[in-house]
Amino acid sequence: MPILEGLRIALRALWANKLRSILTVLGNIIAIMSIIAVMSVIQGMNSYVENKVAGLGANVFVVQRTPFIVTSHDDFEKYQKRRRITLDDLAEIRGAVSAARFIGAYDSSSAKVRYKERYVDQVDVQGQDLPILLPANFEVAKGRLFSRTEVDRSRPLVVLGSELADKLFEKADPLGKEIRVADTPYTVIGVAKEQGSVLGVSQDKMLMMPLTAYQKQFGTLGSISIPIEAISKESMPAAKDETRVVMRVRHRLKPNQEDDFALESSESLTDFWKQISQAIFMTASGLVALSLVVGGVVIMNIMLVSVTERTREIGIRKALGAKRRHVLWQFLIEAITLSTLGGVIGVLLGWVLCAGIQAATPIPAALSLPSVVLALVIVFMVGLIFGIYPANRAARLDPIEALRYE
Amino acid sequence: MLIRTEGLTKRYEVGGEEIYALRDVDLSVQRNEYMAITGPSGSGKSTLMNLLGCLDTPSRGSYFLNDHEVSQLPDDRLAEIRNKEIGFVFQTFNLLPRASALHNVELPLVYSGVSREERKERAMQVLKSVEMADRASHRPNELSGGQRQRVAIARALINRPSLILADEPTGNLDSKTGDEILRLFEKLHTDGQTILVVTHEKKVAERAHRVVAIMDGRVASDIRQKG
Repeated sequence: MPILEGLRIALRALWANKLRSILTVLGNIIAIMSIIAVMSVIQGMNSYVENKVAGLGANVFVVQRTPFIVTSHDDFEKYQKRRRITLDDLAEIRGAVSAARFIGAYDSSSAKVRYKERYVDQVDVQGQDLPILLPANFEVAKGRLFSRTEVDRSRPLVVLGSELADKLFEKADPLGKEIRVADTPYTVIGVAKEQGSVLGVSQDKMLMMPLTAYQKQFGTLGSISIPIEAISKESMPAAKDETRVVMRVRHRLKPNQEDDFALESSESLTDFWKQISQAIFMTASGLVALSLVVGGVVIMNIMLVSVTERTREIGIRKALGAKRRHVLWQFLIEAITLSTLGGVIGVLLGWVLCAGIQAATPIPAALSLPSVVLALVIVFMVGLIFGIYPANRAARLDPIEALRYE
Repeated sequence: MLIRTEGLTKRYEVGGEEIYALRDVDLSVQRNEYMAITGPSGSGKSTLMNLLGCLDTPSRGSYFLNDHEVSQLPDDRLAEIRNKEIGFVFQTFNLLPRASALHNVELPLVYSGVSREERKERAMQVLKSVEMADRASHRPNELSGGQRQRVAIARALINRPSLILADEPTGNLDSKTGDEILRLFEKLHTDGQTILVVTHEKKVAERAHRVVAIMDGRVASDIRQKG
């Protein structure tokens, strides 16, 4: 009996019991829907973390006192006791690191910004040296950026983030206006291009001023961050090594002492995220596997009911010449079709769920083809494995007994 | 010789006790015979029919169908023989309830690996020969008892079997319809078909050319009445 014939019989039988079929594969539907959604969200998050949360351009790493990710309070205190990274360090690195194309520097804190009677609290105030490497996609949309000379002369000039500009000036032109950053006057010379938000935190409620001006106002006690862009991907390790040597020499570290500074690149964040996502994925897989086993048992159960209900049909088929394998395949195909049907519905619902997540949150959750293929292979196997027992029972029925069955 | 049995015996064990459903039956059937097997219920005629229909294997003795010993063949070989050599007609018709008449008729061909197109074509032909072509797309529950039995006979005929084995074919039909079915059997017999009817009804047995009576698992009488 060809597979196609079995499929036809299976679909007819399943169609005759539509509601029961759907209820039977509810476990499969939910399991597959979850795995599709989880895999899509993780994959979406992977690229999101890489591109937006890390936010470092290609081939960029940052020298700073504390690493991006601090996992305990003790560590935090340890990092706070480290030596500050200063403009002298910056000068030394600029002089020594040959594998670097650009080297910037910045410090930041939070302050209240005021224009006339309007004010905005907790603005991210950044003191930037040139060139600006971080944020990676920084661009001036209106006006201009401060120049090298203006940085060297610590001129009180600012470029506003788009959200801050909107809040302070609404529709008015901010260029040339005087604003106050924690009561110190600055002149607005530019407005940055909108950068959007990362994990719900706006990146546009900020302003930039020359690092020199920043230090004049906020002091030089803060530790600066030094973003370094390597010449190419290949020269990243060389650039990191050169930087490490400069810093270790300046901090007079002995060979057996560990670094008292951090060299961070996108990988630091993506690696951390990958650890988390792997844990999420493992947990989700475990739960999905469990519900698939339950789903499989339900399918097996219903198939046994179906075999009993159709004992007479099996007897007729056998009397007319169906061999054991014909009957075996008929019921096996029915179990596989049932299970796979549940999987397909699960994929469709998972897809809808992904679209919902994408619409409602900033997390991109694109349906990934490998997860669909994997899901369908899994439900196929579930149908096969849990269909064997009922199918075998059907195949071994005695035709005389089966024909006599009422 | 189409059928020849020698010492055909079927023995069951019920609660440690041996019961003989059939004991040393020697029977020969020629090609194109129209034979009835009669006997009261419990006589062993159903057991004999199951053995002759290759639905069951004897405890002892041999069964030659078309001069081939088939009594000790494995299940799948028996399935093949049922498929190609035997056409069953049952008292309760035993049609698949969800399938059309056409699909019911072509069912044996599914298991002999005939292509879809050929199946449809041959099923239509046989339905025509039992005057059921206009009901090909009807389901069993849309047909009368007589019509259902005609479809069942068409199904029995489709693989051009050596033998039609009918088990109480008129048992669920009123006498007029039953008569029509018996006339159909006579027509098939005239066309050269071998027909074996198992029945406890005298009226049905009388229509056959040879009547074998079974009693307590043995052949009690074997009478040729016409032809």
